[in-house]
Amino acid sequence: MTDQPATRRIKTKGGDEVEILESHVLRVIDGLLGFPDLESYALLPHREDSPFLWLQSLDEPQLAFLTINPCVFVPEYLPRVLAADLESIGLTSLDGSIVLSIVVIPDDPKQMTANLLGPVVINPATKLARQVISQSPDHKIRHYILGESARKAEVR
Amino acid sequence: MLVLARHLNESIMIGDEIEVIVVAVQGDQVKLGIRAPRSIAVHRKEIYEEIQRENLRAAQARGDAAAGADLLKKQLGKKPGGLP
Repeated sequence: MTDQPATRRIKTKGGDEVEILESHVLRVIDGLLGFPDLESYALLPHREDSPFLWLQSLDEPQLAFLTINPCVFVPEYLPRVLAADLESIGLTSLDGSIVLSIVVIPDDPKQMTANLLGPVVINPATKLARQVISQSPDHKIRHYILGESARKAEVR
Repeated sequence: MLVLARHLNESIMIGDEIEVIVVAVQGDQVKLGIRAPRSIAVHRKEIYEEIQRENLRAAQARGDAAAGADLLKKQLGKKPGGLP
């Protein structure tokens, strides 16, 4: 008797259809800010050697957010998250959580930024997530991912 | 919009579970204390709205994610991690 894990086919922003495990479906409590009615998302890799992940809406195929673990470029990044926010997704601390920042890549990709003030915290055990607001005054909504010299480099 | 005048240390109930208290008044700054169930997020409005706008910007951005990934790889000088 085969016991296949449940999967579903989803449409992505790029127009592709991919198959995901049901167990990888996330519920973003109260949705992302500005998108309160959309709670169902899946995390998809951007590409094999890329640090980005797509946070793909399962309710709206054309809605997907490019995200990144901010520790990739700010190794010491630790958002100050309210206990209430952690509790709402079944955590007592950030231990074991996945923290992702929503990335904006403008026309000039060197100027890409990540939102360190409003990270998305995911509890992989409960599959619940929430976009929280870090209580640290140092965290910016548009944190440049690349260093200053890389941003100013001339395009050849 | 309901407008209520409160003195120092007076409070407002919103529903049965949310209380807003005037904790201090210093010049034109009012310090508010908020008692609310832990499931309800309470944040400064302008920050909330700024993040909403940034999320919208992210949803609409047409920048090249592949180019971004390549630039970041170059900066890191090593193979970046993928899915945790």
